[in-house]
Amino acid sequence: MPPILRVEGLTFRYPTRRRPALQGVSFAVEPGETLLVLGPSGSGKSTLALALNGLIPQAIAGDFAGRVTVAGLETRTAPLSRLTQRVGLVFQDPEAQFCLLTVADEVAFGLENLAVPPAEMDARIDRALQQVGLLAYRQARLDRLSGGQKQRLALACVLAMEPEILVFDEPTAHLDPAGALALFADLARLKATGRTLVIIEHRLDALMPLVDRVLVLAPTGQVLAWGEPRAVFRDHWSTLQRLGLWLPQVSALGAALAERGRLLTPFPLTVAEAEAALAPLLRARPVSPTDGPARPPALRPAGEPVITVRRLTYAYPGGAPVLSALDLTVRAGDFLAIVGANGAGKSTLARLMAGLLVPPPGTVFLGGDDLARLAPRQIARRVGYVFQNPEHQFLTATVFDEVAFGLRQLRLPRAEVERRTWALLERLGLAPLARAHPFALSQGEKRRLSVATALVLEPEVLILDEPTFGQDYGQSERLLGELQALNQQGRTVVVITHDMGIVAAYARRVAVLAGGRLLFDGPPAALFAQPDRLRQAALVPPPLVELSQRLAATGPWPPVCATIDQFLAWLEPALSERVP
Amino acid sequence: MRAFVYHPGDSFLHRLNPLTKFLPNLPLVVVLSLVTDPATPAAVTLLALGLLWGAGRLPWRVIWAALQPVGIVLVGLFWTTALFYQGQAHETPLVLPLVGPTVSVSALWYAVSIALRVLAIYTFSQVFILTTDPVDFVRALVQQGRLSPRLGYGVLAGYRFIPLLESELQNLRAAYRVRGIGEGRGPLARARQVWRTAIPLLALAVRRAERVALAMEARAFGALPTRTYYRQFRFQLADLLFLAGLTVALAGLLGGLAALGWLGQLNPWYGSRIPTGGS
Repeated sequence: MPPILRVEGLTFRYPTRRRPALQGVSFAVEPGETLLVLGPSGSGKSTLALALNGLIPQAIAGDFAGRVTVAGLETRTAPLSRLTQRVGLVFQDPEAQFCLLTVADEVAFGLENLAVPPAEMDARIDRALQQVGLLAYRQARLDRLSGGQKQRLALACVLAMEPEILVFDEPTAHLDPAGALALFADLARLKATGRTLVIIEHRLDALMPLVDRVLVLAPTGQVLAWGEPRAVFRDHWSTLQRLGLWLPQVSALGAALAERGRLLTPFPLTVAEAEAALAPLLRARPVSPTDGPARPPALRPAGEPVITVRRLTYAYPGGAPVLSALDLTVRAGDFLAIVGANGAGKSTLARLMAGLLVPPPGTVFLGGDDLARLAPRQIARRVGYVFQNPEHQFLTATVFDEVAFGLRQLRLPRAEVERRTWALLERLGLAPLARAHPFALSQGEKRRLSVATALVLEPEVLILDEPTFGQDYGQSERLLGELQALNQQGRTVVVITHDMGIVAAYARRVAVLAGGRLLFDGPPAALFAQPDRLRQAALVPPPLVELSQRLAATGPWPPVCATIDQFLAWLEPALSERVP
Repeated sequence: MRAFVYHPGDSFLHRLNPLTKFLPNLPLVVVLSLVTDPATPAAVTLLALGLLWGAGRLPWRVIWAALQPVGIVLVGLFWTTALFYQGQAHETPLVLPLVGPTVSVSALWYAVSIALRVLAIYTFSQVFILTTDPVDFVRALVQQGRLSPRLGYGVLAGYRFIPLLESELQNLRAAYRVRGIGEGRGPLARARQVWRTAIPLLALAVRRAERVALAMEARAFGALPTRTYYRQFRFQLADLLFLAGLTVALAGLLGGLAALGWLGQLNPWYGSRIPTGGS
């Protein structure tokens, strides 16, 4: 079959940039195939998405060279009205894709733009909403939808225009795990109907079963790898890792085993494949439940309570309670992860614990002090808070001033401000950027800077709202390594996250929120042993936990390995003796 | 219950074309600023209330809530006018029981008339405001008012932004709080706070606006010279009847008042001449 999408020598440079965003990119996608696009931030992934339906260069001008052909139309010359009917685009931010107030109107918008006769619209709106499971919300107002529903609505909006190719630019970046899985389920259904999908995404574990081709872009905007996913991941693993990309966890396990001389065949991309490859190995050389990893290092005895939440009920003005009668104690030296679906009250709880929202008197205590009675300055010295989006918290024009800001507020002597600021900048690798503007930093640097602004006051507790949001794997691992080091020095760390891999690898304790209530409070391993609890909170276990549980179900092997290291330690006996 | 908010429903007024409800406000403002007697605005107010209740099927508590904001304005307006209006020289000043200063009869009369006019204009505008979805108004402006779709849908996208910007603002304020800076009290602290947050808020808004614009273009917005409409607005018989009925009612009202001699002197230069009162 001829390719439905063909990109030949595509080079594009934004007028305000010196270097091109994309350089000589070529690939082709056949009808019905699913292409996964990977690349570090700044490698031109979003630019590529915009080039696929002609928005680049028709709506966004710049230096354009090469050729993009979709369904026989050349994007540089074909009218946008026809191109947008062939190629539908779903963007990252669920809040920035709509212009109307109700679901049906929003879906109709694209049809109106294409001058579809009004008599046909209702049927097309219904069909599109049906395909994403939102038909029941036809008359709903957009502000009543969750982030996940909004992304599915964005999908319905392009489906109504009946495109053959659908392009997704990080569609799950703002979604919780359950929301992401629901969107992936929609994608699987669309693939089954023969649609061609191009997906820029970093949550790969659940997506891999759909992927037929992988395109990897280098930081320079050139093609680094292109081909079958198994071949790309197997042959370019170390390069992909060096770029800091998020990769399927079971593939990481496969790569780690390959390094130890044990190549799994096939090289696993999905949990099912890893299970199939590992089970015979284990059967040949069973591991007894007593083998394998030692219990995780004994938790340091919990210290004094640093933050105590007592029967906290909280509602925003005019709203229903977000938290109801919640009890939670954060003890000195904890590394606590707070998890739960979007809207479960995680951020609200964190903001109340940091005094960003004022709790009702007698419900939140810092040490022995009622937080409601403390001044912001007193709270800021004891609790550091890092926002989900680092850009939301930058207040000054240089990296140095940003970190020094909190110290200057305390009216400390100038010499001390300088000393403490430089020390922290050095430590987080930001010293060379001290004079740069915070907004000019890379995503990873912005995140480290936002952590620095909170750390500089040396608070007892550091609370981070989704610290890995917008970070690639390398940046995220580096940040968590730093947090872990801080924690080992005795600092208390509280992390709000959707990433169960982080919970598994770093947290000492995990608190699960659902509907404003505490559903679980204990060590991560205990949580992963309770799949029902996870489901109840709309959480998804990390792929490795799923794999180890599946394996445990078929043999006398110990359950619940959450990290690659635990897995390797566990598999060691089975691997130590080479099969001849 | 908030004022200036659309109250959804399916009444005769709700079904009218938004422009039909909007347009009569303009000539009405002119007429009401010409008349100086209290009877005309009082009658228009009653007419508007009757429309809201009868043709709009709005519950009284909704109408009452919608009228609250103007209440405060009216009280203030009434007293300032009464106190500062120079009565005619030959008049005997009147001492009002509740306030110390003396007020002339003509000043009092004038104050009542001014307050009633404001009330009438406000109440009549509620016929449009309470029964019209703002989105429908923009749609009608695009469809019948020949407003450019680019501008119209741009306004709608902006309308969606307001709650988002509110939450961005909360974020920014939290960012200051987390560094130990409280909100502060008093106008100076407030002004400083607005200044601190204005630029980042604007930057965020611009960035988001760019993204929305791109998403709209990705859905073929503006790609064709023509467009169709899912919700079509037309001028229908009901609109014609409403406008005709309204014209007749207002003309009859003015005529009737004039015949009864209640219609005061028309005042083409608003407020510049001394009204004669209801003689």
